[in-house]
Amino acid sequence: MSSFEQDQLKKIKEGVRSNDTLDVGLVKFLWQANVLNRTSKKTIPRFLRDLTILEDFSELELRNLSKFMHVRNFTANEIIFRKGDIALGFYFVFEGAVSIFNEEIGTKADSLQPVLTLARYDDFGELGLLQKDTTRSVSAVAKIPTVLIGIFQPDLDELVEAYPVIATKLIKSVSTIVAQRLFEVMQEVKLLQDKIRTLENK
Amino acid sequence: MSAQDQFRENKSVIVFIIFLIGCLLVFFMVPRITLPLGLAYVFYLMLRPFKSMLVKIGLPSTLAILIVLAGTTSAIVLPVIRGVALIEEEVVNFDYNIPNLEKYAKEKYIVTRQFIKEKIRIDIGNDHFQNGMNFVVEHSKKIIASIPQLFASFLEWTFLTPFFLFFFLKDDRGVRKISLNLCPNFLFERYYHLTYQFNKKIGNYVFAKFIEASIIGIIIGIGLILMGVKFPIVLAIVAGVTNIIPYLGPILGAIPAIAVTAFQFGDFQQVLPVCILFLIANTVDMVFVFPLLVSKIVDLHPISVVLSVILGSQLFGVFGMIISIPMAVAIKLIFAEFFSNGQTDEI
Repeated sequence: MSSFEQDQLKKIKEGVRSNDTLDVGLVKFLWQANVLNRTSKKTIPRFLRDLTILEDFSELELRNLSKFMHVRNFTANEIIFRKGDIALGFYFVFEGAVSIFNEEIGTKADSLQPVLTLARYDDFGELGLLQKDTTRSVSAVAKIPTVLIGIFQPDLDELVEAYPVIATKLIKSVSTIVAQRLFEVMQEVKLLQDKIRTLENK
Repeated sequence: MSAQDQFRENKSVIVFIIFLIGCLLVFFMVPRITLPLGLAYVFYLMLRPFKSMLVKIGLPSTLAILIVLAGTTSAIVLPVIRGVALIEEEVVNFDYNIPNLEKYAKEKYIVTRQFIKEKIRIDIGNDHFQNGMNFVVEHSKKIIASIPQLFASFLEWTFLTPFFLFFFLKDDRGVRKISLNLCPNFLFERYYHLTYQFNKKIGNYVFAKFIEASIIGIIIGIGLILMGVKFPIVLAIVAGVTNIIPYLGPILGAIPAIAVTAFQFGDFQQVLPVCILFLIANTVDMVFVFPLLVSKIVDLHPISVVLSVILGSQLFGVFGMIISIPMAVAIKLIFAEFFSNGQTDEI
């Protein structure tokens, strides 16, 4: 059985012209994605590769998805969004830490207790991406100097137009997060109901 | 937040405000850049769906943009080249035709004056006619004299507009990211939401107006061809384009057609079918096209529309009347954004 290379050499010797066109985009991607190419480990596609919710995405899909994302830098104790703000986007923690508060944030976030602290690779605000005209029900503050990667509703709309497959996969992944959270909430509600029943029986 | 971080945030706010003010200043004070840039933006909003369609069928992005640009440039430049030849002929004949037009108008005025004197027994005199004719002749000559300058501007736009349009279509996200990267964090989501909504509404409005103008133009073009009126295509284009101006547009569009008909046939009775044609076209527009396409997008009270048009004309003349509705939509969006309450989401 002859290899692809042997076939190509044979065709060249015979003077057979190939009708294949060169896919410049694919060549560029392969050049950038090769192991010998020194790229920073901190690029967005490399980061997205490490996220479990995006494990179904190919390298090319992650690279295309990263074009629609925004990098936002926050200083320590800077407010990312307040409770009641319009919800537009979904964030991944690229670097740093984010504290989530159940109350409205004034100028002194230090005195409040966070309900949750998120670290690198964590995500938040998924319903802001899926639902139109909603507001945030919690506040988010950068605990330390933080870099977030965000994708917003306008980006999702454009992604649907430009790369519908990637958009569908992203919506499926984000919906999985929402479903998981709903399941956890249902489990907690069931637990609390059992506790209440126990207390009532006592 | 430390003092250094606070200073950094304040600095980013100031830079962003300077950027916005700078854009507004350029918009108002440098029309040589603003007008082709604005035109390129309007074309970008109209042509973006066509580019997406071509990319979806497998064409490379750059090739799709070049095809769209070539099609648009041909569709605009070829009629203009034809129009230049026609206008040149009319300008050459203008000086010769003015005394004939004046004589014709004077005869009609004498007949009308006699009719009014017999019926109402009031002699209106010749002053009104003389003042009117002087006004028309003076302003017509001014317009003719400004045509070379208008063509020079038009030639400049013919090069600049496709140039800007190519980069809008090629890298619209890149252009938008410039302002988004400058936006401070606390304003980012709100600003992005506003600009996105504004682009969407303006895009839909431009597309709807384009469809509306095309429908009006086609109805009037077919009607004028059937009536045998001269320059039916040019008059149809003028009627379609002037229809963009709210309320006054249909009247402004009808005036050239009525004038051409009156001078071609030398009889005002021939003008009546042309008026009926414009009435039919605008009725179709008001009853079917406007409610279905435009009003849902605009979502403005009719009083707001009238006030915007008056304010636009006061500030920027005809151009102001055209952009008054999109600007009113933008202002309404900004107010709605700052005073709206959405439903709460759960994280």
